[in-house]
Amino acid sequence: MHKKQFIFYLIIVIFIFHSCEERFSPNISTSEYESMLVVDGVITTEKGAFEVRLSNSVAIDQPNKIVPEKGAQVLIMNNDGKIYTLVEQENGWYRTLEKNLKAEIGKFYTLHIKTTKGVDYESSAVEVLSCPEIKSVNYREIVKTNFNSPVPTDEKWLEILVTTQGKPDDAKHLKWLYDETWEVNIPTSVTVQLANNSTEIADVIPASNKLHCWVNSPSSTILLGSTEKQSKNNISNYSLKKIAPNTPKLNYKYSILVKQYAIDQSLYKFWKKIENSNQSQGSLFDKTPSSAYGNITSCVDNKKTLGCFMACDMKTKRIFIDKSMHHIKTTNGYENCIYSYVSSKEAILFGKTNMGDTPVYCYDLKCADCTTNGTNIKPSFWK
Amino acid sequence: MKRSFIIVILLFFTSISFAQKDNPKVTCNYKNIPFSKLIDTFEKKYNLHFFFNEDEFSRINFTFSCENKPLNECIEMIFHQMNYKSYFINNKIFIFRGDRINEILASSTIKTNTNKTSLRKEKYQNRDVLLREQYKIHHIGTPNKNHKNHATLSGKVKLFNTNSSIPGCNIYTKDKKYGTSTDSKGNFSLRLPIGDHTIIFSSVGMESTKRQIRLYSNGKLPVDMEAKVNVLEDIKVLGAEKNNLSQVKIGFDQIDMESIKNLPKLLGEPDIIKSMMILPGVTSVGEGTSGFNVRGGKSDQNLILLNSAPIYYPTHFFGNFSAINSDLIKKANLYKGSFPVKYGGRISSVYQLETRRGNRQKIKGAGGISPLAANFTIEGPIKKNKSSFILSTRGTYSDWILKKIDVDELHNSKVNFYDAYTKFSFDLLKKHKLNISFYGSKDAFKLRSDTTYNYLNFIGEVNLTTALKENWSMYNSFSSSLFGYSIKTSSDSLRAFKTTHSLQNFSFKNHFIHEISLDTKIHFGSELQAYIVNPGKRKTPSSSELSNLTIKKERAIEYGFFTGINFSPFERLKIETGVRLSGYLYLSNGLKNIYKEGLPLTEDNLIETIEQKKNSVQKHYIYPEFRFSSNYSLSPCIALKFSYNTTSQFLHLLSNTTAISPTDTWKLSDEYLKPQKGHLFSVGSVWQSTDKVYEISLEGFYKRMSNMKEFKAGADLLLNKHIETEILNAQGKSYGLEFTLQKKQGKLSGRLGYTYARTLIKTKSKFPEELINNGDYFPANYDKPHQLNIVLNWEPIKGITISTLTDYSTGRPITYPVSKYTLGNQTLLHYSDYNQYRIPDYFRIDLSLTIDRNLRKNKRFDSSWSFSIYNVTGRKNAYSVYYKNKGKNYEAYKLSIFGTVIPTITYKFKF
Repeated sequence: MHKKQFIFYLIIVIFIFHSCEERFSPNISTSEYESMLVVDGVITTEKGAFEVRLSNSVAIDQPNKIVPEKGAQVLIMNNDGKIYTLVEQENGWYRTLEKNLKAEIGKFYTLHIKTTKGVDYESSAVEVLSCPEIKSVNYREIVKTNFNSPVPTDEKWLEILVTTQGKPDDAKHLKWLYDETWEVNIPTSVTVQLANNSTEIADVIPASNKLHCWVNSPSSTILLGSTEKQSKNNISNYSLKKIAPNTPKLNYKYSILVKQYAIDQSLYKFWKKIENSNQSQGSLFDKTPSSAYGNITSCVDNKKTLGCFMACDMKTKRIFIDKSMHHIKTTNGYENCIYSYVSSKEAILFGKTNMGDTPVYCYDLKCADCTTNGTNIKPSFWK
Repeated sequence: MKRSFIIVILLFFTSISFAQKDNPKVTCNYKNIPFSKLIDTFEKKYNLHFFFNEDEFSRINFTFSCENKPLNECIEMIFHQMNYKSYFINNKIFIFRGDRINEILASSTIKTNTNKTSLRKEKYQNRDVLLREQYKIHHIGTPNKNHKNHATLSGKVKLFNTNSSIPGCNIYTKDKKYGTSTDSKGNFSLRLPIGDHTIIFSSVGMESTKRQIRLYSNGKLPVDMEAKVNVLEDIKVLGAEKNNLSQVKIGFDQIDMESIKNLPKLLGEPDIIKSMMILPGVTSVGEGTSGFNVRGGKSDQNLILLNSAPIYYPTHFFGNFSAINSDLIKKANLYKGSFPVKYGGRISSVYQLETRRGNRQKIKGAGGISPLAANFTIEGPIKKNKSSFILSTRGTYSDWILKKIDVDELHNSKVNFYDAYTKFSFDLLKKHKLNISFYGSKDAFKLRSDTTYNYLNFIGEVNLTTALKENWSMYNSFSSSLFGYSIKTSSDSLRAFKTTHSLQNFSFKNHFIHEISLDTKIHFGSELQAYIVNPGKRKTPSSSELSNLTIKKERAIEYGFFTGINFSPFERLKIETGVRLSGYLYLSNGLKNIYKEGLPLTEDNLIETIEQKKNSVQKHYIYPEFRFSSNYSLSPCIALKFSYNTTSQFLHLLSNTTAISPTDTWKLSDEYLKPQKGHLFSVGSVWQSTDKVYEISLEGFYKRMSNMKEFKAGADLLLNKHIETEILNAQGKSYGLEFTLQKKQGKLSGRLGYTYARTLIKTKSKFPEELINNGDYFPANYDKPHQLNIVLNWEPIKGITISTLTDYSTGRPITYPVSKYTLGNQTLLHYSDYNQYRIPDYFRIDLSLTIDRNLRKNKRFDSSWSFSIYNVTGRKNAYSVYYKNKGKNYEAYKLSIFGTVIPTITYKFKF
């Protein structure tokens, strides 16, 4: 047996691409780094103000942050010559004062920017293409293997899928965003740590009304779809999101709002480039990453800008998934909270026991107040 | 010394006498006595030592009788009746087959070193003459006739007892102050000071000889040389064929099978592709790739030939394991500077693997077992001395083992590969040599996913070499090569699909060669190739939501006509030159994309797709190509070389990954994808020590390449109906200097290669969307300016070899992110211009120990063990560097493929 194991060991060593990943600090000179204007502008066929965010890129070795571009003059023009003026708000946002604007299908929109440095920027004229309908947003349970556990184990995940139904002349390229919302409840029956290192269960009458919340999380990946290589303008069961088990997301009720934007081919290619450079690196056969410049160009000195301006027809759909509708293992998210009867400087009052009025304390605000990562105001869409 | 193996026999210069007193009269009578017993008896009785090839004689029985005859006559008679010859030196007796001698003398070329057992039939008295020549003083010219200080010694060097001259023979004075070499006809002339000299004559495959002369004035000295005879099959032949010094081609390397066997191995087997990557001027983007880059060429610019058939993806296991069993290879030739006119269709190199034929005497087998795979080869005669077969197969048993282990890295994984090769060779009517061979390889892998990748190669080949009259010979070959792959997902029935790609090539080659003399040769021929490419086809089961998708098949015909001449216009200068006309017809697949004129090729600018007559000629390209190589020998030790070559290429590999992957697709040139063209200038010089132990070579090159294929960022290359909109025609230039120092013989041998080379590419277009880095030059992915390789082999005792390999190179270029920005809720990276940074330098040392037990007395079954350690220092060489978002920051990570020490053991056997 010993010999056998040795042989196996040998094979494993040789067999697997003993690939390993480790932290590394490449030598990238950022001393001459010049920040670039970043344009994040999406106007849609949904009613609202037109808004654009202008910021500046930061060097790679800096922490992630947004450096707003202040004091710019921002205009949006359509091909009828109509001009919308955007006024500067907080954090680099520029918004129209009128709140009931809509981009119209078939019209072309152009964004103009003049920065305080006097540089003019202009986007290409972006046509609003009609967006295919969202036929359905579905979910299904899938099995994934967890390789991080001591023994690889199969786990059930929940996959959210979108199916579109387009007419032949609808846009062929789509981009999706989503917003997830889920309920959380801080449990009131908690484990209290005692002085002798033992624990007891206590039912607590909480001190605050911040125990029931809704947590919101927007999408942070680039989701693109195209029907270009298909005969029909439908996309079936595009995988938007895979929800891992053992998280609080699906512990009560969960909702996802899917936003679908119709984009043209050049914007699709632009986003595809960004996707390739940002989301699919680190494998053996990577496509080489590259810089991606959008549809904004400077009028005078060919200054390059990042980001893009989009004018899109948008379709949305929201679904709710109740705990009873799946078999995914979940947690309430408060398993690691430590409660105690002992008060101290950092202690936060959680409540009093319903038996003896003994105060119960915790040491992390998040364990007593769910508004630290959500809101206790019921969202208007919540059913 | 009961019985002796035949060792190298150098008997011609041994003083010989078989005195009468040692030659007693014998009387004997034997019936059906086994050979071994006979030898035993004679050895004991008369104090004789027999030398013979045991394989040949062991099973023969003898019946004979002698009556009162001298011992030597008796022995001669015994073997004569069995059609064997015996030869005496003192009390040593050499026995060999009679027909061998005639074979050797008939061929009377210098190539005798490959003959296994051979002796001369001349009486030793004649050899004495030859020997005496070495010791007597030759008086040249007339005393006192010349009042100058110098005189010219001239003459002809020929093979003893024949009229064949020995060209390329090195001639030098013992003090090495003066030297020359013979021309194609074996003639030489050497200007020397008047007086006494000892002149040494040496040539490949010949016994060195010397002459002591006293030079008075101009005069002649005819010299006879004897062929050197090596008897052991396993002996390494040095300077086989032509050495680098006399080789006209520049940048030509012949990979020595013997030396790669001792190289440290990564996965337990010698790798015929990877071993070549240690040569100067050859680089790769990193470990775990099958592609290699020769003198700045992309990896699709290498023509890899198995005999005469192209092979498109010659590796298993993502490029870590050569798909060709190196045991099958007779020689491997890498042409990186001079391209013979018979080769065309690729612009950067030709790597030709020549397989050996099966043993024509007896059935033999060999095999090897390594942790990853096992191989087995069997060969033998079909008709003795006339025809033979060889069959070799190799496979991995990893799949079987994978199932037995439960390690997370291997969960749901599958890796399987095998390959097989067979070759039949026949001699027909003495004039024709016919070879028929088949090769197939298949890989299937699935790593931690539900997607299975399969790829395969298949090659069938027939070639016929015919010796025509008066030194004319003709070579014909027909071959078919296939490469194909499939990607299949089936676990999710809604998204199940199978995508396939394939490339098929049929080629016919015809080549006439007329050897006028050893140095003068004219040759011409033609080549016709047909290609069928399936660019991509997606098939989906009915349950799948994906639709079927087929890109129409492409067809093309490539042709080439070539003629060339090798000659020596005057002494010391040798030239090989020729022209090739390479043509290409792209046949319509029935559809043609028409784009707006004067605008960039994008899908937006696609006007329409028109129908065309299928298989009509849509585009015809024709290019003349020039090939010129020359060698000027400055002295017997130094040669200067120059070459200029133009090449063109009609088949391209579409790959926008850093490393070429088995799922890249091949694309034929069409109206939009212009053929690639290359111009290469090389100059070089070679110095070789007179004893041929040391060699130094220095070569410089400058190469221009046009219409190299580059790709728009993030291009989608698979199943794309408008593939031309993703591809850019780029220009490349490459230049460099390659230095090699070799010690070829001795207990310690080795090679040091250093290269400084740059490869820069630029895109050229009127439209900014068709430019990379604004149309400026950028370094190619494989541009590694400094490259150093050192191989050392140390053989302290015969049969034990310790080898090391050191590999250093500058890190390859990479595109790093320089800044980041936020769009929506996502922080994104902004990358620098293409390839503006470099990953850390690459450095690796390997070690290996080979214990070869071939030299044991019992030769029935030979075996060898080899232990290798790959990456002894365990350095985590970067393969790529990339960034990951960690919430507040992006952090850089480095991926190493073999980031650890990898030991392997291989066991090989032969019978």
